[in-house]
Amino acid sequence: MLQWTDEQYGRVARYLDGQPVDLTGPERDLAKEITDGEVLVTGGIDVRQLHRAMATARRQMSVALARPRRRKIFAACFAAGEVVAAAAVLIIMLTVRGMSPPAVTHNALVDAPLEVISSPANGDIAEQILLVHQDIDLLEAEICAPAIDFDQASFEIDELQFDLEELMNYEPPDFFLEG
Amino acid sequence: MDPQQLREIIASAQAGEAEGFQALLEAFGPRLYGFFFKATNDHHVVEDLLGEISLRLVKKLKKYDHRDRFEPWLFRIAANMVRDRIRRLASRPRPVSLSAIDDSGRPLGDRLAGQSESAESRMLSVEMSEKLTLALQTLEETTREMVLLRFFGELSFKELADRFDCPIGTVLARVHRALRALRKVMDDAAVD
Repeated sequence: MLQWTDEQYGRVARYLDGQPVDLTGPERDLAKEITDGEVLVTGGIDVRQLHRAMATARRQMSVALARPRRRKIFAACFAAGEVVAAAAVLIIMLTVRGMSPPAVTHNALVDAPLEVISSPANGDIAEQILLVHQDIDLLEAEICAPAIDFDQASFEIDELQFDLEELMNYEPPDFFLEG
Repeated sequence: MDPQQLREIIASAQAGEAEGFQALLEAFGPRLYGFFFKATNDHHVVEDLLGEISLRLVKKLKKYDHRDRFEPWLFRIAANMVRDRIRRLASRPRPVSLSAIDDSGRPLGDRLAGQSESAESRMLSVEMSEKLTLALQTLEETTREMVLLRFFGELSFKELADRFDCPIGTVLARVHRALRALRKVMDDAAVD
């Protein structure tokens, strides 16, 4: 049996990687021996078990791919729910204000356009609805802008979890090492 | 799969398209299955690992840089998962009743070596393949990983040398010795 040097192994390895290396006869035999090893290593996979495992993986992947969509819907519902709740509070406040004497004219609606506030139809329900709409828009903008990005937060948590696992694989702290 | 087609599939998956991810699973699933099976020799563990890596693919693909080769990236994750699983199994052996039934309805006790119900009826090639798989388990961990990453992950020797931080010739020397050991198992089995 031939004893191979590191240099010879290196030459054959580079040849097998596709580099232009002129091999000697025995080196070519070694290259063939390595190439033939593929059958030895990869053969004998149970196809039924493979199909079963693939089916499971497909299902799990489909579920994982559907998850972000569900999160988006949840986030949208959450934001919409907050807006609706805020609008309801506002309507109640306006209704209460409408029943009280009109002594105070300066209130939280100062940001509304001047022409709307100074409109002769100030007491009309139509105007109040318009004001409510404007305030809903404002609230929506305030709520939605800094709202938590659920997708992003969830993704970042997953990433952290994965990175932690990677860290534990590569460089586990001493106190986690066995023995 | 040609490199251009693979790039397109990866781009589609990175854009969040389900079809892209599914195509990646179809393309690499069987090889990953082979890699996991030869590394662990346990179909149940392999099923877990294959499911887990498909989830990791969904989470991690955004981080993949298309300038690097995809196979080393994917099989690095696979190799880490195997290492992690083997470590966990070694440190926390779970007690289980041998009369418990596995997913295929067979008592777990039947999975012990020498107690397989169909052992007599199996073909010699299957028997040899099992012996080879068992022989792979006896290889030193780094060598086994090199062999599996080479033949299932299709990593080049240069990529293996970079991964294991050793000269390219050393990688081939270890793979060569491993293949010789496996061939010896096969020859012994043929004599028996």
